[in-house]
Parts: sequence; C-alpha cells; structure tokens
Amino acid sequence: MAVPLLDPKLLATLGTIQLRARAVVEGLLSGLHRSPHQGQSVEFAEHKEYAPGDELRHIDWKAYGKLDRYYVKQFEHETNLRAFLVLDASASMGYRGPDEGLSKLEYATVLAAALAYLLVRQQDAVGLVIAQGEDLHYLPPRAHVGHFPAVLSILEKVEPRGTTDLGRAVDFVAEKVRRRAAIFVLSDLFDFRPQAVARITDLRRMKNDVSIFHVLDPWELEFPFEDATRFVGLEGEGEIEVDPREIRASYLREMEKLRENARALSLQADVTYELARTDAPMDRLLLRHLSQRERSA
Amino acid sequence: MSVSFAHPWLAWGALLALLPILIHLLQRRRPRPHPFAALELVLRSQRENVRRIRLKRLLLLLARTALLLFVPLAIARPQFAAPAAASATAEGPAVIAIVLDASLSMRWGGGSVFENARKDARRVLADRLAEEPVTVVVCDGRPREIEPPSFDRGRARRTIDEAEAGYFEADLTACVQAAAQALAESPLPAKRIFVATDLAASGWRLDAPPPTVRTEEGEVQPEVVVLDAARGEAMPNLAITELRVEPAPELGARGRAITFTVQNFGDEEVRDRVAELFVGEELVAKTFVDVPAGGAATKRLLHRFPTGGIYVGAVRLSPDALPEDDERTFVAHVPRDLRVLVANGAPSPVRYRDEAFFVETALRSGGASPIEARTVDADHLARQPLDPFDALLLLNVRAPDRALAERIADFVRGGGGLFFALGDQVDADAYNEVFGDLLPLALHVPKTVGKEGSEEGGALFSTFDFDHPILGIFSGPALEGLSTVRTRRYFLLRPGEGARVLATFDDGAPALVEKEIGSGRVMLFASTVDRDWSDWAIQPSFLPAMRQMTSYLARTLDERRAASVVLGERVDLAWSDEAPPTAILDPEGRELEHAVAEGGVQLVAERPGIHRARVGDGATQPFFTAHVSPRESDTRRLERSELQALLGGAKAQVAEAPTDGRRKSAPLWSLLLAVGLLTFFAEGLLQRK
Repeated sequence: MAVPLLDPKLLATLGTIQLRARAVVEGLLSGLHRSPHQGQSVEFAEHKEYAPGDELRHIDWKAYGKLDRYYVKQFEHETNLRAFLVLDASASMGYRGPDEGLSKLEYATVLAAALAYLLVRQQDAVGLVIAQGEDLHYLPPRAHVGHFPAVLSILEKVEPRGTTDLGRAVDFVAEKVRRRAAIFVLSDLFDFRPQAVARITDLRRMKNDVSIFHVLDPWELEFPFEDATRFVGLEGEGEIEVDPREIRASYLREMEKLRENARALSLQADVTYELARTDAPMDRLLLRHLSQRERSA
Repeated sequence: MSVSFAHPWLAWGALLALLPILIHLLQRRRPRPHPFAALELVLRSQRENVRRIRLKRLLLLLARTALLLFVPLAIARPQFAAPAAASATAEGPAVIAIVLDASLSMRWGGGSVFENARKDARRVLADRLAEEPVTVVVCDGRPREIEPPSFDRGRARRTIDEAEAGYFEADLTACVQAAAQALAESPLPAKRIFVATDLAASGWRLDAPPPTVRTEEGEVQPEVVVLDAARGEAMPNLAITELRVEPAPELGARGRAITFTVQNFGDEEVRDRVAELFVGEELVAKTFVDVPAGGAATKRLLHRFPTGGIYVGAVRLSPDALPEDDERTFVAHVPRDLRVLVANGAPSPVRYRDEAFFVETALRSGGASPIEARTVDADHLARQPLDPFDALLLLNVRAPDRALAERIADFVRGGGGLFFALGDQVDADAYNEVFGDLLPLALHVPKTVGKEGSEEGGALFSTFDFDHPILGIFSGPALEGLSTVRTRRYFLLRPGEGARVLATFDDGAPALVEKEIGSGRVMLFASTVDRDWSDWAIQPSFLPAMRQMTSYLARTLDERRAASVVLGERVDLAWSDEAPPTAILDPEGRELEHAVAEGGVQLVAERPGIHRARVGDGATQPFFTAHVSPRESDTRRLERSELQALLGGAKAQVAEAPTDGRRKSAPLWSLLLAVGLLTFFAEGLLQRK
C-alpha cells in the first residue's frame, strides 16, 4: 500500500523534526518504488583471491572461467560525498501565513532534515550551516550514522532571528569546502543580492553541486489580503498601513520579479533552483529535485 | 427662491453621507497588524502606487459620500419653491382636482385666455407627484359626471386637451364644490384644488360658503389655488345684452322697432361704436353707440318689412375681444294680410247704430292694417263665396238656412275662423237648430241686467283666461280696458263640452267662449259688438281685442310668438302646429337634440343664432333665436383678495400662473438621482481598479 503524499499541514501536526523528516523520506522512497534497504550505492575497486568467509555472491565467475581461480570483487562505498545544508534562519524565515501550516523556517528545517536523512542513509558526510545575520552556526560534515541525531538536535533548536546575510553564509561554506561537495541552500532569498550570487557562482566554479530551495509562503506569493492591514517587518524594516487590494497587482509584479531574478541568476550560475511553497507536499519537491539531479548527473 | 422637500423626514437620510468619512476614520485608527516577511516588496509597491492610491482613495471617499448624500436627498424630493407658492400651499402628496373654466368669457381674446388656462392645467398636471391622484373638472355649464381622482394621467391629459371654451354660463362656485366632493374619495389627507379661470366675477357666487370636503374626520377645507388665465390683465367687453322687436305703428302694420341695449363691461368709455341692423344678410340700418364705462346705452332702429312673413335678422356691433356677444339675432313675425268677411245682421244708415261699424273701424284703424275687412248684409251672405276669406264674422245675424249653415260649417272645418256676436236678431232655438255643434255652447235665453240708455248697471267681465293668446295682452294695467265694460243684456249659454270659456260676466255666465272644429276655430261673444246691449265697442280694449280675435281665428296670432332663449338653459318652446317638428337645426345646420312635449318641444340650445325647425314636408322655418347669457358677457374680474376670502382665506391662493417651483424641483431631484447613480457606478469602477 502506497503511503499518501504528505500535506505540510498534516506534517505540521507531527511533533519533532525527526518524525517529520522520516515521514517525508518514507513517502519519498515509497514514491521511488525502491526498497529502503537496496539503496546502498557501491563502486567496484579491485579483485582479491577468495578466502573462506568471503561472500560467495561476490565471486567473479567470469575471472574463474578465464583463470580457473576464485577471485572475489571488492567494492568501495561512496562515502566521499560531502554535503552542506545552508539554512537561512533569519527572522523573515519565521513567517507563517494566516493559514495553519508550517512557517518557512519549519518547512526549511524539515526539508533540511529530510535531505540529511537521505544523505546519511547513503553514508555521505552531511554538514550544517545555520545563518542568522551575523551569527553562523556550523556543524562539520560527518558520514557516520550517529551524526544524524546531531543534525536534528541543532535543527530542532533553530529559532528565526536576525537579518539575512546569505553572502556571508556562502562565503563561510566556501572556506570549509575543500573538495567537491553538494551544497543545499534553503532561504527565502530576500537578500539575494549580486554579492551572494557571485559567491554561489564561485562555489559552482569549484565543481560543487549547488542547489537553491527558494522557500516562500503562499501568502507571500499570492498576497491574498483583503482588509486594510498594518504590515510589520520581521527584520526591523518598520511597518506600513496599506489596503492590500490597492497594491496587490503591484506587489505580485514585484514578487514575480524577485522569483524570476532568482531563477535567472541560478540558471546563469548553473545552479539548481527549486521553488518551495510551504503549502506544497515536500516529498514531491524532493522527488522532483532528486530526479532532476539524476538527469543532470 | 428656497429649497423645500416633499418628504422632509427622508432628507435626514443625507446624514448617511458621514458614514464613509466615519468608516475612513475608524479604519485609520484600527488597522490590523500583520508581521510580514516580504515587507520590502510591500514598501516598494506602496511607493509605486502612493499617488494613485491617494487619488483613488479621495475619489472613492467622494463617490461614497456623494452617493449617500445625493440618493437620500433625491428620495426626499427637494424642490425650488417660489416664496408665494411655498407660503400658500403645503407641499407633499395630495389628492388633486383641476377645475378648468370653459365658460363663454374664457373665449375672450380669440380664445387666448382659455389657452392660457389649458396651459396652466397641463402644467399643474405635469408637476404632480407620481403618488398624487388627479381628477379634471371641465366647468362649461353642462351637467357632467365628475370622475373620481385617479392615477391615469393620460386620461386627465385627454380631458384637458379635448376641452373647449363653450357658449354657456358656468357656475364656478358649484364646480369647485363638486371638485371638492370628488376629493373626498381619496384617503390622502391633503386636498388641493387648482382652478384655471379668468377670474370673471360673474362665474362666482359671492354669497356661497368656501368649498369643503367631507372626510371621516369631518368636513375639511381644501387648499384652493386659483390660476389667473388672464394674467392679471383687465378684460374689457362691450355686449348686446337685450333686444326687442316691437310693432312700429308709425311705419305701418309691417313696421318694426328693433330696440337693443349695449352694456360696457370695461373701465373706459366707449364712443362711436358702430351698430348695424341686418335683415337676412342685408344691411338695413346703421347707428353709432356711446357707452359710458360700466354703463349701458339703448338704441332703437326702425325698419318696415315689405310683406308679411317670418324674417330673421341681427344687430351687430363692430367686434371686440369677445365677439360672441357682439351680435344678437332675432326672428320677426310680420303679420300677413288677412281678409275678413263681416256679415252685418242689423245694418243702419246711422253709422254708430250700424252693427258692423265698430268692428270695421277696429279692424281698419291704423291706416296700414294688414286686415282687409269686407262687410255685407246678412241677406247677401248666401251669395257670397267664403273661401277667399280667412275669417267670417256674424254680427247679430238671423239664423241662416241650412244650406248656408252647412257652407259655413265646411268653411270652419277647412280652417276658417268664425265669430258670433249676438243681438236682438238672434233666435236662440233657431241658432241651436241651424248651427248645432258649430256653436261653442248652445244658446239659452237672453238675460237683461240693466236699463237701456243708462250708464249705470249692467254686468261686468269678471274672470279671464289670460293664458289664451287673445287675452294675454290684457294682463296687468291693460286689464282696466276690459274690466270696465258694462253689458246690459246678453244670452245665457247652455252648459256643454268642448268649449273654452275665455271670460265670464260677474254672475258667472260665459261671456266669451271658443271651440275648435276641424282645422278651424269658432268664437262666440254672448252680447252685441255695437252699443245696443254692451258698451264694449267704445272701450279701449275693443280694438286690440277684435284684432287679436281676428288674427287668432285666422291662425296668424301664433306665429307672432318669437322665442328667444339663453344658451345652456333648458327651455320649453310652444309649437302651434299639430305635428311637432321633425328636426331642429342649429345655426350651423346641425340637428339639435330635443324632446317633444305636449304643445311644444324641450331643448337646450348650444350655439348662438337662428335655429330652424324642419317640418313634415322637409321645409325649414325659423323657430327661435338663441343668445349667450348676459352674465357671461360681464367680464369684470374679481379682486384677488375677494376671491381669496371667498375660497377660504389663508387656505386659498390666487396666482397669475402656476409657480415654477414644482417644475424646477423635478430636475433637481432627478439630477441628484442621476449624480447618485453616476457616483454609484464610479465607485464600482474605482473599486475594481
């Protein structure tokens, strides 16, 4: 029986990030129609002469036919992938529309946890960078299974705070990446300025695989406010009283410009761009993203 | 000019206009806070639209305010009202009666006064509110059923459009009261009557109480607005108010004097106004009339008609603003020549002893008498043809033989007239035997009541039938000529049927009796027409009585009755012929409705002028003349204050024309409504943008 794709509202009812991440990943794997226990990716390394105790299924029968001796294939696990999850935890990410559901930060943390879970399951090393204005919280990448609870522990404690400085966070990651790595940026990109774009382009030039999850709330995307409202900035921008109906068209144009700018710059920098609506099922988002990565690989 | 409201309490709804402002202020005070991440985008959008938004907000506020201001104001029906109108009539829906004066005086000025009144009535009708029922009363002197007030404006408009100023006299007091009665049928408490009239005083009864409307709460006084169709101007008028056609003996038997009275209903003296006498279409006399202001002048014009017959004619003044009363028509009956055969039963060489002397003298006097009398001895009567004569007078004639009596009887049945005067030659039994039914009453015996030669004693005439054409002229002071006649001897007559007693002696015995036989008439005087038995022959009444009798017996006396009727009045006109007229034609040749009554016809004349009667053979003859009422010729106007007092004082108003208040009010509220609707649509458009 297929597990239904999870609605973020339903997901929000789950208590911990771990549970939310597992639910997402289970749904995701179910969607891929793969057994969770057949996901180990190995790479052929060398032959060695058979010795008792070796797995019979690894005997190379073709070599036996040619040489009349038993050789066993030896594989090397892909444990050399290093991944960095860059999570924007600025105050703006704490926004949650009037509809019940996940805030952008909650959505991003669950998404980050789900990615971490997937990566750890593949024995990849996962690192975490939490960007909160001037403050950066860093968890270096590790590949062992026991590293996942540490990631979750940090994610569960993240509270939205401070302003966004995506460029600084990317700079920090660039310093830490010493060889080819996968970098996942989860942000609302309200600070997606040329400086930050330049940093990301540099990362990509270093052969890193960069993905951007543009996390936005549907109320930010559609601006469906009706009554006169006093909008208060989450990062200290002040406040303004407007009749949303009067500026809706203009706002939507601005929002479209923002998204189009992010998408265009990402394309230009050969960076994978995904719009992550906080009301969209997360497993579908991941599935689409993974499929896209597979095709590009 | 001030603004007033048809529904003042609805005008308070205009306070709703404060609502948008209040909402605006309340919204400014309590905007809902909402933490928002994309504030920068909001700020940018706001900056881009700040001017447009401010303008839109301002326009929206104005539109909403205007909508809530104009619509309640429009529903309250504001109107411009002239101060006079505002003070005289309370506004608000009322049941309305429009009284349109269509009497003769409204034809003044070639109908311009009536057209003003019609215009006023139309304007009053157009200015009514939709919820005001209206009835229209055309006051033209004709009896009309008044429609109850209704909302059928088309019908009311048609009534006004189809109304015409007539020739009748109208009683506006009665019309206004009738209109007031009609208003009682509407439950609306406000009652209003508009009267479009020329303010001619003759149309109002100044002693009548103000009009009242009977309602469940009792009698209430309606508001009355009199609209002056003459626009405050005087309406001078000169009119012929009386005309008589009388014999003019100085011109002979066919001479006539036409006497007419001209009245001046203006404030200025009229001099040298031409008055012309027409007979047929021929101008026969002309004179000039001077009439003092508010006074009258009488003129007498003479004319001798060439032959006997019925003549039509008219006296015409040079026309003024009301020409309908500047002409008065008449019908003149000029007696035709009569031939009378007088049979003298006791001729005498002494003139005053001759039986026929006094009769001949009476019939021939005046020089130009239309009566030609031929006297023969009674003995020669048998050889005398009777047909050339209109009447036969047997004066103290012995009873003839049967053959002559039979001829006389045939003569009478064929339409001839027969007169018996008695005397000593008359034998009662012989008369009764020979003449039989030809006698109105059979003779009995002579009766002597006085001595011969004595001036005293004798019987006097006692009772008279003044309704009879012969004796009608002796009513009043002229009676003296009859009542002093003394008769010493006369025949007593036997009672009988079919005779009409015209006069009796003081002992009750019939003196003069009449009977109709076939187409002829027979009269009998119970005494002599010389001085043998009675002194009537030397009394002043003898001459006219003989002439009247002769004419009556020859059937020319009836023709002398020339009727003159007032337009609009129901009259009974005598008709002497046996068969009533088959039709009565008005001056324009149209048949006039009439009812045939005993001895005449009953009708209401509608057009001034000569009316003709069509008799059995299809020929027509002048029947009567009709003229307008002299009261309607009196165009002197009432003072406004008088009329206002008459109609209820403060509840009444006299205006020269309908005030423009209502007319201006209509565009005002409709304009407000239009602006309100425009702002409504504008508000909707602004909202969408």
